[in-house]
Amino acid sequence: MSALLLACPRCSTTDAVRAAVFGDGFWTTLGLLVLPVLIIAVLAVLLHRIGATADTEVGE
Amino acid sequence: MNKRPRGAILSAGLLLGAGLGGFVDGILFHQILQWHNMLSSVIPPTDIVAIKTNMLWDGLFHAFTWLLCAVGLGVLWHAGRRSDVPWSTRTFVGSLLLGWGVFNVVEGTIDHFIIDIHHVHPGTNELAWDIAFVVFGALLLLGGSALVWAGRRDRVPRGVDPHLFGGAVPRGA
Repeated sequence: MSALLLACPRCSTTDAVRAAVFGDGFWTTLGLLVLPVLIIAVLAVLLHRIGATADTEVGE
Repeated sequence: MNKRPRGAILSAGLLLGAGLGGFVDGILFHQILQWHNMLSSVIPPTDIVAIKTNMLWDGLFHAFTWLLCAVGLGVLWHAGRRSDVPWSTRTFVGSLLLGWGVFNVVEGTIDHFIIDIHHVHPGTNELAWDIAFVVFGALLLLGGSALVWAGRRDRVPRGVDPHLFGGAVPRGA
């Protein structure tokens, strides 16, 4: 297989890759990949709320 | 006693720090050093289809770290428009370190130890590398917490030179 074929946007190699990624188990794997991001997002929301009553004082 | 809310800048820093920390992982370990890929323990990159499959999952990982940065930038922009949010460098840099540390601890624990989809440096000492990744994250959390704590009394809003007012908030700010 030539290097040009390996880098092609639409050929047997990329078809095989897309089938492997977007086939069975895609959503499960994506969910696992997103899990750390979701945890960080929840922490950011909590920090936004908790930090709203931070101990930074005004007019001491 | 009145309080100045720091939540917006803390949240922005956490999101940006986590996103940039994710880019450090992806750019340094996945691409430059080529130590691992997103699914390299599940789909070892031993042929062109497996390599490109890992590359696609790396791309999805980078898409989410980009999203963290984009949302963090939005939260930071919103915080900068508020006159009640103290524009503290120590608080912001501290929250960036907190975000990077949270990323290393959360991603490292889940991906390396629980679901086992890749390791930092696969091979004979992979456990040591995985532990070092989480320990480095914990150190970032400690350093970030110290900076956020040190910045708790910073109170000058954005656009005000703290040297002009000795850290005090001018009237109307």
